[in-house]
Amino acid sequence: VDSIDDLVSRAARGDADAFAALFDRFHVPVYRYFAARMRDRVEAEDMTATVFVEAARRLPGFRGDGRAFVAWLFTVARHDLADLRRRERRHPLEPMDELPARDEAPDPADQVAERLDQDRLRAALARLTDDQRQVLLLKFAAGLSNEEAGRVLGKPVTAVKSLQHRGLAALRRLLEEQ
Amino acid sequence: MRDRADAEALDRALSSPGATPPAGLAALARLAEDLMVAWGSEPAAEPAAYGRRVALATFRNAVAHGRRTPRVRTRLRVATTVAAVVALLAGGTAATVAVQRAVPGDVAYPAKLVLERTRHVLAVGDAAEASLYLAQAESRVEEAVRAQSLGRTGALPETLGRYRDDIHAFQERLTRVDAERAAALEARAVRELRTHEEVLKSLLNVVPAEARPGIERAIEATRRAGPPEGAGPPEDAGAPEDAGPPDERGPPGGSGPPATSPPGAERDIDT
Repeated sequence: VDSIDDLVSRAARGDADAFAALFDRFHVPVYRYFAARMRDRVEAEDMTATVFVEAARRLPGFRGDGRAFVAWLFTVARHDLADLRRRERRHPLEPMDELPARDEAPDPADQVAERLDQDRLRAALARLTDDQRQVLLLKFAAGLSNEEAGRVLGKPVTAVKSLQHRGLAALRRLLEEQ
Repeated sequence: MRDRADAEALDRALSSPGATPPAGLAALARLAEDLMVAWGSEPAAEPAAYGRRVALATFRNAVAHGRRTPRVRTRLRVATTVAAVVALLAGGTAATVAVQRAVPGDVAYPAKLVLERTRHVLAVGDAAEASLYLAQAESRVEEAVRAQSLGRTGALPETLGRYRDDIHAFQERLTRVDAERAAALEARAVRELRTHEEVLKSLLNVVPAEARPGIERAIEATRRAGPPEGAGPPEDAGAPEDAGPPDERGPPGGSGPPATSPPGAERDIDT
């Protein structure tokens, strides 16, 4: 198995197979990062695709190792999410009920059950500080290490551990209050 | 001090599967495991495969362009701009028509985009710029329809991404226009955005499933820009607070992540 460093180095030199391998390695973590904050699965998929198009544009000529690439990838994701939130606050969106359902949509009953639970979690998550929320998303949705999360957020590992502890404690309190 | 010790102990428990966390931290460790399960969903296969194809095509394109030296790139840019200006000044010629009718995937399409940028340079005033962005949005919708009819559905996400950028830019410019001209522009926008929405909805029914997300987001952008159902022109056509098009983003590098929003913006945002 090629290391991330090796894949990034080859992709930076224009190796499309290496870029494809990076896509395969990080597509699900980036999707989960978005999906944890969004009700709309399609939107999470679309946001994920946008991040990788951005990565595809910027990766040729990239100077940095695997860790720098991971940090950069999730920084793009983080800012894309922030941009989306700003736009939503500016232009609140009505649900698009009349749009045709996707063929692979799961059973509606399952969807409702899942949404209720996820809605509760999202509501609690929204009340954390941004740093706490980001640490929980990067670690438990995207599966990043403390070092990787620290690089995305520009914080030392000790701060990430502290934010993880405080974030989980605050989230637990909020979920119990609901 | 206690906080720090607890944070370390919790992290050790989370980093070692099977380890028993200290009594006071067991509930937090369980919550972390629950989060991993709750957030462990998988993306649908078709959109993921489509996203992979689009990303790979973009990567190959970026590699092909990146191999040109900066000097060659500058010369190309200057030459394209000059060609576009000449075409613009000689408006009505066959070449201009060909450029204006170009769709994504055509050789002339990049020249069309340069031509549009040139028109912005020549536009005087925010009203003229807003009008240009509205016209460009219409061009993007036409291009999407023609790209679909030519079987170039792979071009739809980028084309409709540009559509959303044009709509946002239109709204941003509109906020700087005086009330009288803004009202006229808004009235025109209401009519045109309704048409865009109808066309995009129709497009939604004929494209492959993997091309739908981009269209759905374009419809969302159209609705955000338009008035509420049954209402007159929008009262708030204010600028979105987004960080600008992707091209304004810094390149990746080894010395830390680039800024993708204005400095400090991420500190007071809810993500």
